[in-house]
Amino acid sequence: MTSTASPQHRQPIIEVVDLTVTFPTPEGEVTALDRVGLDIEENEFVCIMGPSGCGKTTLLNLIAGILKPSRGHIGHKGSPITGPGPDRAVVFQADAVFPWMSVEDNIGYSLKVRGRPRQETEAAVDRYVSLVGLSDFRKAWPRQLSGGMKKRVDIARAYAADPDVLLMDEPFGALDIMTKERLQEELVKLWQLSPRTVVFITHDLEEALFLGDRVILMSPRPGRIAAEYRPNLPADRDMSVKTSPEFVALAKTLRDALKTFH
Amino acid sequence: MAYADTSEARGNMMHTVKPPKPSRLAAAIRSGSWLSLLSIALYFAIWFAITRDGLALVRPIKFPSPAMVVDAAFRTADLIPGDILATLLRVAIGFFSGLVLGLGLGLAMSYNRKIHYFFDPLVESIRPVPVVAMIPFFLMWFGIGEIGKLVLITLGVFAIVVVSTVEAVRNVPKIYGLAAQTLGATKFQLFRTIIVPAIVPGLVGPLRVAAALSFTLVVAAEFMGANAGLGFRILEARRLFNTDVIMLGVVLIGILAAVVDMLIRRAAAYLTRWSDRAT
Repeated sequence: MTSTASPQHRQPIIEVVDLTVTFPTPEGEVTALDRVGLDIEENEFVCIMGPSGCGKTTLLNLIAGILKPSRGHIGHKGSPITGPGPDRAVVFQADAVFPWMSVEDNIGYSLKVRGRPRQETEAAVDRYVSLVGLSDFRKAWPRQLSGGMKKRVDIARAYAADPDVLLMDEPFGALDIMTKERLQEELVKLWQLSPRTVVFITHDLEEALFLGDRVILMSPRPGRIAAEYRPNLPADRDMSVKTSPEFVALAKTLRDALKTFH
Repeated sequence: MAYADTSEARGNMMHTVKPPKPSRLAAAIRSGSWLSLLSIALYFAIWFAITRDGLALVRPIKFPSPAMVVDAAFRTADLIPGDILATLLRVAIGFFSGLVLGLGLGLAMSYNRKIHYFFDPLVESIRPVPVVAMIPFFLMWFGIGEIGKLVLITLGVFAIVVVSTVEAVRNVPKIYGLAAQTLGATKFQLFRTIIVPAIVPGLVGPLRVAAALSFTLVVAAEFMGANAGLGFRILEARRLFNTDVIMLGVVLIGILAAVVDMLIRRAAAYLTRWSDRAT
């Protein structure tokens, strides 16, 4: 199942070349990412997984433009990434839903700050509030929602920004297993209905295999790309696929690969 | 699994079915809010008990009784509305000027590092000085007219608000700013849509303190000289040893300060209705 990316003719939407990131610490310089190279194709769902401290969140923050590389190049549609922007919206692990805005104001936020016409904003809010199943809660304050519902608002808000790339940094990491698995299923459905390039960071290997077209495994510090997997699961999958022999076998391969790191 | 998520949230929704609303009295008894009335009643009872109306433990001239204060209120009834109006106007103008200036400079200092570096020494050198210590200068600079009084209150409120604003901005979780930026907000939009609403809960306490200080300062300002106002009335009464009028002034200032504080709390409760602040 291990494979390298097949030759592509299109230009990748995100292009990472020989990327190195070092951080100064009291104990000296730490290399978070070491010569990482990666191409992400349009409408590809890429999961980046690895043990904690492998630099996967650093990689996401670089694509988001929140961090700058020490060496190497990181490009979006052929031009270098210089800062954050709505073409690369982020769903963070922590709750980042604005508590002083209603659900609909949160979802429409990106369109509003970019001065889009009201009808367009309302249409986007209508579309995504119903796609994440929160139509009954449009006027609610975030404090009235459960953790899982807030995460849906966060995802809808990022989607409504209509980004080229949707960056998700362990968005379900803080949720209970039931809510987490339901949101995984919903995200797969949402992605089928509204295809998008997604970069999804996780340390949960089953989550990575369930969601990703392509799963990239990173080694512990200094972070390097250790292996790539293509799960090839059916598009209309639900949780039951996690008990299929193919899934179980792939999960074992991945787990064994993770073990070699220790 | 399917319902766990939404049912919990539905329970939190405000417009779900509530048990029938109990009467205000029943609610007051249950929540214990009647204890506030009890404590007010106790204050009055003690006041009655120790003064001339009760056990007469203190001389009336040193501590007037409630009946004497009521009598003073009737005697000076034609002056009270004018005094209240004069004092309230000074407090309102001084408080709002201090609020606007403090918020404005606090936000500007948070917005731009250079503005911060420029104004920080100034703010930090004014802040620890009790503004009442400046009264002699105020008298020299502005005389005993309205300007000096308003500047005194404005300065006192400003010092509290500017520092509280800078600190409140610092306390806004970074994640909201990051999220807004990745969603396309400019720095100005970030301040308008994220920072400003996010600092409101942190400013409620400082604003209540600033409002209370405004009443202290207005009395100090009216002591410098005035022709109306509750502080002025107290000073006048002191010259004639009308301690009942002094006590009346004190009670009226207390009531005004309490009403203003209640208005601020009402406004704050509305502005922070999104937060899970305890009510």
